[in-house]
Amino acid sequence: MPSPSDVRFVKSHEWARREGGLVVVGISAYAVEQLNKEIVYVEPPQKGRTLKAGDVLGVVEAVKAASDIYAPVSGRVAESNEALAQNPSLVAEDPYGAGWIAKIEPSDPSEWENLLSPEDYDSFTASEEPH
Amino acid sequence: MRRTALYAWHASHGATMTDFNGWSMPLYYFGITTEHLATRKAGGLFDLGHMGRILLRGPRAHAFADYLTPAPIAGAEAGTVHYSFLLDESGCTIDDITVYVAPETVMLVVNAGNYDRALAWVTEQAKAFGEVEVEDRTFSWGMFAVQGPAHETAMQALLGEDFEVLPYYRFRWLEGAGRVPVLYSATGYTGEAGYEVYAPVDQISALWEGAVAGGAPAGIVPAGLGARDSLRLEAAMPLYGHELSGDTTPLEAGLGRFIAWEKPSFIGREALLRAREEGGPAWRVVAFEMLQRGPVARQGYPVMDETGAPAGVVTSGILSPTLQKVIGMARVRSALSAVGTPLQVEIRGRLHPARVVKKPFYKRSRSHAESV
Repeated sequence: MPSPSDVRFVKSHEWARREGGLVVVGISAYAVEQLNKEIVYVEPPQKGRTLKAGDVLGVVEAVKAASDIYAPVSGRVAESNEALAQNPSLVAEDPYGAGWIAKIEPSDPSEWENLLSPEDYDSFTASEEPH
Repeated sequence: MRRTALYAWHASHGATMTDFNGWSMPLYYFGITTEHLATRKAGGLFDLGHMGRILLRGPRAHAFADYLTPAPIAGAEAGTVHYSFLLDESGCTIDDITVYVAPETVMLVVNAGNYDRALAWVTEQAKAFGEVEVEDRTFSWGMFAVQGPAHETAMQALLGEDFEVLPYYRFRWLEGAGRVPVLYSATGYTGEAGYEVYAPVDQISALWEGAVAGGAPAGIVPAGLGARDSLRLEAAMPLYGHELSGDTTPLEAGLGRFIAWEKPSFIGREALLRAREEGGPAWRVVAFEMLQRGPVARQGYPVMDETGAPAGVVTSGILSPTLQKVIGMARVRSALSAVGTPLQVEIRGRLHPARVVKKPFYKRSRSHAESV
């Protein structure tokens, strides 16, 4: 399934969406598939933290392993999805909606231009698939 | 990479494969949690072709197995299976194994990850012992497990009228004109009742397909190594490389009940006796549960006592699919091994409260009389 058109991506499989003055961040449907949708725990960032693009933003745990989530843009964490503590499976069920991880107040709006378009991300993941 | 006789079946049934000690094995077909819960509810079928199968023959095969392992093999009845170890002279664990005592032979089943080392060790020891031949059947025989409350449905489909219920840790050998030779044992690694089935490698696919077809109406599903690991952990069964290792004795792993102390000699006996006389091991493997919903305590994470002083390390941990809480096993200082002892696990720099609990985490309800 093609990725939604209103989001941008990074190669470490996070997505970003502009919403008002904030950037909403989550992990892609492809990343969720790679974890076989078996997500047992999500650790979103603490509100108020300042991050640089590429910093560890949080952790997503599948049955067998924990993986870091990276910040696609720099900024301050304005909101963190607290619903994930009780219901980590939201990330698997609705990765681009209710399964968002954090909302970042961007410190450098020009970084948005560095992100991958949905088309470019989809061709990147297609090339990553095992042959 | 090594492939079992069932590799093509796994590939054509959508398995996600993983490299397990050089073997390409199914991690899951549908999902680890789904297969775990299906095994608890009805049953699971597990390809175990990757495990090492080593046959001992010759006039001194039984005497050798009795010397090689701390299990009571010399006086054991034919048809019995014994959980045991290959120990070195220092009492440390080269592998944990099962030992099958047949009238004229003994079979050792070893872990895939230790196969090369175990085979070399057994061969070397056999040579020194004398009058015992070591025959490696890892590649000429296959093996799978049928586990779970509905396992008899699959076993009947598999063996027909030849199927006979066996007491725990017993095995039967079926052969004769017109029948595929099959060995089956009331053993397993899931905490459920069930069997492990052995047959020549060219017969294993047909038997497996028979078990899959026969078990499906009862809800029995093929299950991968992911579920095998989470099932064994709920049953608090040790996994080599986690609870046991080359520098761990069975006493430290809490497996002293499997040592036949009364035997006059076996490899590692003196070292284990010394450890016991010195007041027991300094470390123990305990079962723990996390007190709050939160991250998974995984292998290698540090364990602290109540005051925050170092206490040990996590050896295995999961979110238990059956209990819906984070459980695990940890190697801790013996003084902290009593049930109820408060512990803390450090996960990504933060301490999370835990406590020592009784093993196992999960115990099946017994539907009929079993002699365990």
